[in-house]
Amino acid sequence: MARCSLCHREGSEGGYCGYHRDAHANLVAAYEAWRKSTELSWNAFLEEVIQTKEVGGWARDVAHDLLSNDQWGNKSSNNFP
Amino acid sequence: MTERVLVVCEKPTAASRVAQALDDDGAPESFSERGVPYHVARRGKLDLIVVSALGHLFFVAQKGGKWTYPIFDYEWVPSHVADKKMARTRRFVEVIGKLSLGVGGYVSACDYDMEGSLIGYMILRHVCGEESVAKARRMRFSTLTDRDLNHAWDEMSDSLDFPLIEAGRIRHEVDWLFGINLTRALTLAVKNATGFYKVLSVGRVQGPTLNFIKEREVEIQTFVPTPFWLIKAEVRLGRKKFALEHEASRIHSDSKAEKIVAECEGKEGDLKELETARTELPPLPPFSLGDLQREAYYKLRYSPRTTLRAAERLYLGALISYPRTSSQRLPPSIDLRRILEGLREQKGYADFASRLLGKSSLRPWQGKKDDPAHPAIHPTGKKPGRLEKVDARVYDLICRRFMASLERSAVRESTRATVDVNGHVFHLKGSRLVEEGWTEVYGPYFRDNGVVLPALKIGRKIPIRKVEAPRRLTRPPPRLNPGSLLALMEREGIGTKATRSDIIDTMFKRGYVDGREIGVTDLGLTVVESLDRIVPEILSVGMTRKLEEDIEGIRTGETNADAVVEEAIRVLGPALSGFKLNEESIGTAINEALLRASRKGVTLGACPVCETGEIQIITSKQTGKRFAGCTNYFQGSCDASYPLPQKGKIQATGRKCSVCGAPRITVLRRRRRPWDLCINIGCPSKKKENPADGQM
Ligand SMILES: [Zn+2]
Repeated sequence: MARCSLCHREGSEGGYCGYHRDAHANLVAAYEAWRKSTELSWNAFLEEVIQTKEVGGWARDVAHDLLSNDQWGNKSSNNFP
Repeated sequence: MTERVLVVCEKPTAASRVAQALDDDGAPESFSERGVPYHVARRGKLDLIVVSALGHLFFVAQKGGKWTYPIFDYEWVPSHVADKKMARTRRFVEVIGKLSLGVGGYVSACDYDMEGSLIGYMILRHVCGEESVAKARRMRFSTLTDRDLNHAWDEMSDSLDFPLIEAGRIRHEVDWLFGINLTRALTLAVKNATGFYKVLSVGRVQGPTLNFIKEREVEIQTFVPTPFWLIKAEVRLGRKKFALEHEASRIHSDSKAEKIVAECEGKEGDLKELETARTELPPLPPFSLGDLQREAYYKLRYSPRTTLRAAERLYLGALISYPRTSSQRLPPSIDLRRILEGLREQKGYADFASRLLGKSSLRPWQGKKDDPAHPAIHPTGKKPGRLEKVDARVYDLICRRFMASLERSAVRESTRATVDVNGHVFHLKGSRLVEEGWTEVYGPYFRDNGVVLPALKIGRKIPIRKVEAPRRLTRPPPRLNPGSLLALMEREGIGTKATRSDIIDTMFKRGYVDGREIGVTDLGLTVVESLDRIVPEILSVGMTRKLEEDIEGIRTGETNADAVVEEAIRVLGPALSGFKLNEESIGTAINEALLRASRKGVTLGACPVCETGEIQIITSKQTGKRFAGCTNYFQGSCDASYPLPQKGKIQATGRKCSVCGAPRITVLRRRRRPWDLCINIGCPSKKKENPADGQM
């Protein structure tokens, strides 16, 4: 069975385990609210959210992962799903 | 000739109290045989031999066979046989056996609840013989005062309380079946998969409790905050500053918040409306055990277990009533005046007690919950001698709560002024207690956070001194703490008032949870995941609650006891087979979690220099400072090392620096943002990161 690229837990689909997938879904949902109230870009949102003490550890992992993938050009520059 | 009667108590302290109360002269003879204390009290024509257990003297144990699972064959054996750590209880069993020879009657004077009834029954059944059970009578009491004990003797029931005993017996048997089988299944999964031996226990109630904590943790760890803005205005009334709140408690857009600020800045407010309302704050009911544990956690920061132990000592000292109660009610049979007369003689309570005694009638404020065996926790009125600090504070809490429940309601007056600021509606809120009522006696544990407003009139113009729109972020749900977890267990109907605090404690001991704000550990998470995958019903509140209801049904005579055990075996059988089939994967996953846990807090990630070692946090023996170094240093093959920030908690992130490949860490510091950085001080990414922010 494939392992999560962030925590090595078993049972990953599309690179992330269930927890990191949930965290990713929460990032996407929260971005909607951020965009409406602040007009931040996806990447600026991720940068901002990483800095907060409220964000959960797994959500922070995913945000870092999305940003670093972006930096290395693995995904398109706007990797908002 | 005098007849001899054997009186069985649960603990030595209780035995000495019972003997003293029942002796005609209040001076029984006390003896000790091989370290086991007992007393002989004379009561009329009877000689009472008052003996004591040490809690349970009999346990459920496996009937023969090996250390394996599933195990469904069991028997009750003396506790010293079941558990080597209980060796001391052997002498108690033997001495009680000897003292019971030639005795004409038997009385169980153990604590009056399920556990107490079972303790008394097992001793009579297994030490004094079957016929003693048929002859035995039961004393029922809620305090260890002379008065209550004498009353209990006079009103003794003709037989033991068999339904309660049966309910207790089945609870122990079912809990044993779940505990032994799940513990062995988990432990053997790890051992058979990896050869590594560590006892991993799980109990019937622990499963769902751990699952609550895990679910909360998942919510917290996957949480992403969203922003909102508050509009805060400041005004001056007389010499004092007050805060105005915008009618919308949260503004959801940056630009809208800015617009409101711009429109209100430097303007004058117009006081349009003034509303006052009086609300009654009824007294709090007297304590059930859960209420006491929660209040002591929030007001005194005592863990539920600490509070329970203190309450038990106070009970054994005859200072309070039996603490293991669910009741929030004081029945009419309790002589409230006599208790208050006792409290009147105690320092700190004289004025309050005197005032209450001056009332023509005393009616306690009753709560909703009741308990078939005991009233709410209340003082007995007996004057305490010197108490340990913890006991003294718990005692004070109980006495004040008891008196508060007899007091009048408090009355709060709330004022809300509506202020129009350039078309925007703001509120100015204040409140004060106009009648203190019960809050006076409960003063040390009651905080009134109301803001007292000066006199106001409609039409008053109020200049706005300052308006701002601070950004706030939504927060994840709070972690559970021992107090809120206890409340949650009570609400969900899992565990009993007597066992909940021990269940919480055990999860800490096993390393499944940690922190004052309880978080699940990697190990705890993996154990829950394994159980969820193979035996999800173990984690379900439904099954645990159903069993509690069945046990209650046994007590009331509605449920057949043996059927409850059969049902437990029916659930466990297939679940354990599923476990056997998946031993390999469960064992490997748990072992990985154990390894991660043992490295946690030390290992930061792979070494970017030698690529085979791990970078770990090391504290220098010479300077006491911490730094990070490669594990291969000790073999002499790699000398990679990095300075670390000396302040704050360092957490591994599991990520590598995208620029230099060294591990990235998060530094958590009080009242500051988490600082995420690459540990390599020479990393090109440092230019952006402002190393001056922390002291390396
Ligand atoms: Zn993961």
